[in-house]
Amino acid sequence: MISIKNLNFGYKKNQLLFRDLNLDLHAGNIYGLFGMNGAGKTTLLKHMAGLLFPKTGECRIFEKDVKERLPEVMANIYVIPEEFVLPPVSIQTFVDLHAPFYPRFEYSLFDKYIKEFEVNNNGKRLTTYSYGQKKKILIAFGLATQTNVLLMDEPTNGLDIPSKSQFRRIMASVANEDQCIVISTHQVRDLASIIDNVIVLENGSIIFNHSTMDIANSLSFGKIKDEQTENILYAEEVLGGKAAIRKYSGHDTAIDLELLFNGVIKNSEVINQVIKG
Amino acid sequence: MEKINQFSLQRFLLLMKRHSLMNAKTWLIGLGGISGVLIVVSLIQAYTAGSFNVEALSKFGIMLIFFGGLLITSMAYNEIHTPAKSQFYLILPATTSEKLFSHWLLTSIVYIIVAYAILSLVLGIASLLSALFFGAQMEFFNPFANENFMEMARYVVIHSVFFLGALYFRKNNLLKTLLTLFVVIMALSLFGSFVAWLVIGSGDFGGNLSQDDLNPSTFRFLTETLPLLARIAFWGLMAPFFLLVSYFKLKEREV
Amino acid sequence: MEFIENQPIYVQIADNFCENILLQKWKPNQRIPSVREIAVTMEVNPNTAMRAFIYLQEKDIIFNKRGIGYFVAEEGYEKALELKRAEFIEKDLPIVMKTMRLLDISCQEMEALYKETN
Repeated sequence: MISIKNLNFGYKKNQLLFRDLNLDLHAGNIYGLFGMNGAGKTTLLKHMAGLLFPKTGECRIFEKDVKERLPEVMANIYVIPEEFVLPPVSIQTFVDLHAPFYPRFEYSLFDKYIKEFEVNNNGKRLTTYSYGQKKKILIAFGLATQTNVLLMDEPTNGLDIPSKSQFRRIMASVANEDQCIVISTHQVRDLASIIDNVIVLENGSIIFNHSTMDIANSLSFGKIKDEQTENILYAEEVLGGKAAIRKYSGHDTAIDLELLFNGVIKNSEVINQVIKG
Repeated sequence: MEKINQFSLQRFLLLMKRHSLMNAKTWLIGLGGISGVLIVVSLIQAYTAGSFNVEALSKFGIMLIFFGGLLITSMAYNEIHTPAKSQFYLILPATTSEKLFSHWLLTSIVYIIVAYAILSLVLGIASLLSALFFGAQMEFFNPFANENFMEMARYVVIHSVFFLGALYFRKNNLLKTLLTLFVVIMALSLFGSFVAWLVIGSGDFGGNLSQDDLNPSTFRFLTETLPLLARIAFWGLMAPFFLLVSYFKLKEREV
Repeated sequence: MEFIENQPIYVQIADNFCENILLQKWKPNQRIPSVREIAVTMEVNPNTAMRAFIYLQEKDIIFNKRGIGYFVAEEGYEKALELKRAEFIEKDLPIVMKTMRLLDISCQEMEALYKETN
């Protein structure tokens, strides 16, 4: 559904942020896009939305070059940015002005999500709402557009604790076979249960891209107490021992995303090899 | 699926509605300000001179409308110059031409018609107030006079330059456009003087050119062909040219 | 080597189903919530929720009626009991016994305590 080929991009002339980046994303998945600060998560999402143009290479959605920003393609993408300024109009006006651009927009869904998020739709200007509230309004709008591609940049940033739970519930209810959702975040714990694919962006390229199913079938996550290093792919000190990733031990374990991320950043080759092998 | 990429009147109107609702405040302040100034000036005039001079007031009003329009135009693309706002505009599923021409139509033709309608109304009210309070003779402004249509058309053409300026410059685009225009005009007149000097030579004609100093074909070129070319350039080529440049500017726009 | 693992989410969901069946909140042939409903209440990806359903279906605890949904199997109670017993004996009991030895708690003592709490 989203296909990025040999993407090269840099904000400065001689300083490339992405070097020959390749990525293929498919419908029916919720991708978690992880990376350290400055790795380029937001920049990558902006390329997917046609908001930034590659220096060389291309980004295609439904086989169409996104940077052309064809209505056909744009009507099927919605972006929930991390930093945004909403116009000084009411929620109702905002929806009335933007919803008709999206052929599959569903007003009842929008109302449902707004209610679920406990946002007060009182006719006040959007500028009077708090950042978290605005974010919820945008998320509700984005989900109600029912576009095939949904790009979310740090969606839980700014949400309070109950809202994060509401967000996960809503995401669990929207995911469907035709939709490709990409969520960029460094708040691993907020979204671990909701994603089904893990992508790690580091040093200008994708160093890890696997489904949680493949990860769970190839790796075991747990705690070790002794100094043994047999089968250990990565370990780090935690309270009362070491948290470790090792080759699949025979029964399924819960994926520790934070541990996996640290392991991938430290040594992606070894972990990738085990998953592919 | 292919049809969705072609021009859609529905999206075009929607974009106009979106832009006008989101910028309603600027328009209200602009046109409200012009109306207020006109009424105050006409009442002062009626009070001091005891008459209502529709001729002078309408000229003043048209000038205000002209500069007010350029000011509104210069703010028309504020949305696109802040990344936090422009991302929403750029991802809107509409063609670049729909986005561009909806903005253009609104700030040029729609603006000038609305502004002239308001001018007629305000001058009518001002005339009525002047008559009621100061016994001035009532006079009305006729927006349908030929010279007014000419003035409106001139605004639409000049507007295209400032429209591109609004898209091109991030900040203070009105001033920057004016400055650029000034520099271009200076350069053109210098170039013109240079050409004139080449054509006419350094003959001593003391700045007063008469038919006798030139051969007839040069004279005809200077007095007939050149002004005609200038008129064609102004009325026929200028607006399309600036709109075309604006189109590519918007198409190439990133956040 | 000691390797302490956390149970994956789908196993936690399956455990929750078994508990409902063993407590007889869900009776044989009764329809159970859909994959999506479970995904929403548990705040997990529907694919993860699906795995719990497949897991229990493989154990013959629940079954799928195409186009209608999932139901507790006729033998669901027995199968769930069997599964959880085996799991308890294999996983939890060794830890309990190890702790009993460590704290010097005899089986008689244990029996008395067991009866007390019942």
